[in-house]
Amino acid sequence: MFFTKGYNKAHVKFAYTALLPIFGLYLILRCWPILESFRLSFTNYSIISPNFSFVGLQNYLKLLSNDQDFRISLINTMLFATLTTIAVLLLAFSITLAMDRRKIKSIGLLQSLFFLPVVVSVVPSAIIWKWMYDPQYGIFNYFLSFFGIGTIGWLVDRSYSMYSIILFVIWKWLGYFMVIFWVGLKGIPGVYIEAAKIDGASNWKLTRFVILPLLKPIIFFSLVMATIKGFTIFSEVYVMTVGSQAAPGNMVKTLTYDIYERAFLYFRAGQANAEAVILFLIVLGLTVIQGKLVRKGELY
Amino acid sequence: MAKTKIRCNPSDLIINILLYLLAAAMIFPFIWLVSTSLKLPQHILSWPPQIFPKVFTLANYQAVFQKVDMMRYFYNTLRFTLVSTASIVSTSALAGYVFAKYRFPFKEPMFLIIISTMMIPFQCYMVPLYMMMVKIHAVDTYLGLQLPYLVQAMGTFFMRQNFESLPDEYLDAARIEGASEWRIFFNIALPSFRSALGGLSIFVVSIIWGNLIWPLIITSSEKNFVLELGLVNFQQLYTVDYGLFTAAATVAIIPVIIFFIVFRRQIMEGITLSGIR
Amino acid sequence: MKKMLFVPIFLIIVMVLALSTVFAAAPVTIKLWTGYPERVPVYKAVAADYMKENQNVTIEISPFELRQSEQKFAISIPAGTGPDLFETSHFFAHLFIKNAMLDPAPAKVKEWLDKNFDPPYLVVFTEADKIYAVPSVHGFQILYYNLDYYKEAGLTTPPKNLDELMAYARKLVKYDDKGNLIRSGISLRISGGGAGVAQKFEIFLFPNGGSVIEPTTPGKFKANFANEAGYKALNFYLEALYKYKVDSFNIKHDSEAFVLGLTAQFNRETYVIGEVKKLAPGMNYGIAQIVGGDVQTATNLNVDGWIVPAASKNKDVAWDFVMYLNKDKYLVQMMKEVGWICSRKGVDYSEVYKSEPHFQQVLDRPEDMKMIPAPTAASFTEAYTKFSSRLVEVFADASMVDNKEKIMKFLEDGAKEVNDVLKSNGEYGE
Repeated sequence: MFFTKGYNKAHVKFAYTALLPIFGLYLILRCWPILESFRLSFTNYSIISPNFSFVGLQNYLKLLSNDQDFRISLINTMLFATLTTIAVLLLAFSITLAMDRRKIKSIGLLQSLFFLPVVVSVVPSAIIWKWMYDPQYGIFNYFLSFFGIGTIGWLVDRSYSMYSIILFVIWKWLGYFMVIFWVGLKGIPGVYIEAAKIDGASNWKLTRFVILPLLKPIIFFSLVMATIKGFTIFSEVYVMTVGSQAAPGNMVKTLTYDIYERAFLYFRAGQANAEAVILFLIVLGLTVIQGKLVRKGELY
Repeated sequence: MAKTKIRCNPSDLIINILLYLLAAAMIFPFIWLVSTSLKLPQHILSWPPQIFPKVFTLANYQAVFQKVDMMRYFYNTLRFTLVSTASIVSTSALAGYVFAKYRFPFKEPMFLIIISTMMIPFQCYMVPLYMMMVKIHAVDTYLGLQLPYLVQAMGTFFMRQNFESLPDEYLDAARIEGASEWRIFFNIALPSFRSALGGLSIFVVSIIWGNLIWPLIITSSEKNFVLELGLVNFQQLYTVDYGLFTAAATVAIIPVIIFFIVFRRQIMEGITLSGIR
Repeated sequence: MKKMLFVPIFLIIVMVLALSTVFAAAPVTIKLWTGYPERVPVYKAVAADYMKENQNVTIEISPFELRQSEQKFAISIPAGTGPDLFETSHFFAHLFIKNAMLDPAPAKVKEWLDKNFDPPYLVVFTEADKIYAVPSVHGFQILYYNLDYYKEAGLTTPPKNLDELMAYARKLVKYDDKGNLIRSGISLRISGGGAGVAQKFEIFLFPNGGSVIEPTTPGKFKANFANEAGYKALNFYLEALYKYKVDSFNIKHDSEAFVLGLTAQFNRETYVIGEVKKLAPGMNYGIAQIVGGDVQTATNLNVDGWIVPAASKNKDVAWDFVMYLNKDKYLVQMMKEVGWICSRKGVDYSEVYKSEPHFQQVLDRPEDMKMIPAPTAASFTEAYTKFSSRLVEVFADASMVDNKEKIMKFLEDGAKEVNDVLKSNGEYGE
């Protein structure tokens, strides 16, 4: 075929044979519903009624012009995603590096302990954290009382609610990124490390000039995943804002929560889908930027 | 990587202590979860908070198994998780490998499309997905539940990133010796990345095991519920049945924990002979 | 050798998928969904009895958390994959009545309804003279107060209006020696997502004739809080938080607080009676109707009901089952075991009163007390949710206390937002 000029024909054949069925599954199970949602973002689809009509760019214009909820959600989400990404990645990387470098007692146990929060599903963990944040009965205030600090409404008090949820999310995601970095570290061929050590590299030099460059694909992956997770977070925030001891809606409303609210509480699914498209474009943009940053100056 | 330190030095000790303290903080909520599940109702909301209940009770666990068809939920969740994991890990490994190590037309766009599907929260396209299931009469069936979870973009992305560090020389060497591409995949690529495959498995297991939105939408008969769905129903009784709820939550997460503990070595430890994989 | 592994793995996957059977249905299967899992034990008992009497019928009950049940229902109805019976609130039901997705009650059911239910419970499910649901439980707010704390403060009877409510709260509030609030005089809903904050706020609008949304002409509504009633209600909250400091952000709220003795008074629905019984069985507490005011004494009314989707294939059996569900013994069981009050009239609850006299107090309403049902506007959720967010923000603003100008401006902005929502759904009317 003409478009395979310049490629290794046998390789291309293998690649397509292996990939096309899988890609087909993605097309059917993901791409098609997503495109359908995209189409619906130009309508006034409401979910509950089979009747709806084309409204052009109305949904987009409504969101982008003076929609208070969208603005607040956008700001919250950006703040949230940035803080969470930086905190989780830095922590995960340093801890993993320390675990790899140093002689750690019962490292298996330690790894299991860090991974536990990832494994506990969102609903029970959120319930427990809500409880720990409880003004009267929570552990946090209990500790603070030893220092003479009065009760704090961790979730209800606007100055704290966002950070309380961020802490919860960091706890939940740390183990996940630790596994990613750990697996990445393990994937570095031993030869490179040995060679550097033989050359007398110190730990710092080892990290900076050998490990970091070799970990670039993994770092890129973590950065993208953390960004995506940060921007598309839902259940963690949702459970924290449900109920009477919960965080005030606007303080912690994220874009996905706003989308959910529009689609399933207000039944303005067309608008919700438009918001989802905007969210997607933001995340895509960030990913592309991150890709360029990571590859900068590399012979890829 | 081989660690050749023989003596234990003070900075190591400090790091050890710090890490363990941090780990203790990490699992504290979990300890709280389990201890609450063992308490009697009147002790749950007590002050000062008791971490280890003085009076134990298994009544909550008994009630959980009595009130709900736990075994049924368990079976549904187990089936869903195992099949999803098998499918996602295999498709991700193969796709990731192909994206990492081969050049072919449309490679970049195809990869970008797959990655893009991750950037949209699931709830944004789940209604059209549901409508698809309606058309093929898969609503409230296992098929409907399982289909969307045969592939996972995160998995493909993850495996590609890992496979990128596989030196091309290894592949070429094998090709020179006459090995087919499939053979190379199975005998060279996969074994070298046991760690990554293991890591991916545990991610998929924990995601699918705790998945809520799709099972909620697609299943309606109680007999098709997964554990997480049953759990949320418990939660509605929140101010009243903390004990019951935490017991149900504990039962729900124990299998994943066991899975992780059992497979931890495979996941976290790779083959570390220098120069050879 | 590894390749051999791949093949069986895929075969297993395919086999398992292929073997997903469609369960063989009994001659008639009624699928019942409810957003109230706590009521399911009662429904299962009803279903068991019904199935004994009707051997060819199978009733499948599926509980879901409230919000999720609504989400699920909304998605499944247009697709035709919904249940045969769904228990939901009257304002949610109206969304589907308006979109012609529900089956109106057949004649004989309508007859039975008129005989067995008072009009207020039927009106909320009626559109164009057709009724679309059988009412199940209904909820309305009442005032709970801690008798021990009352005694401590020298109070004997419950308050009769907002001023008394605040005066009582000031006597009941308690601080520790470090200045931390350890008992709120009244527990107000000042935080949380969703529409709850506005719904609870509305109770404070009623005494002076206000509400969040009020019906004007049939099918039309408008905001009703940018007025004196709104001012008084909002100022009540602000004074409670900042002037008299009888409530704060740093203490637990709502029924949890009440059960733990962290508050002396609060408004909530009757199900709390059941909660108190379970969590604080010895507690000494009283129940009073919501305080009234110059204009009226009123509480809210949310009626849950059983609706039948038009796409259901077993409508007759569904309606029959719902009538069966309303037998006296089940309604008594609902009150006794779950704590919700059913809507059918003429039921003898004395058995329950014996073990839980509070229920009798609850149902003892003065003649002139109004029950104002939640408006059946399609904009209901959106309007109340948006207003809730605004309220939560203003509650955090201490500078608003007693500041009539600022408060009225806030209320007017809020009313405009609510009216805009109504307009966008074609429901606004003077």
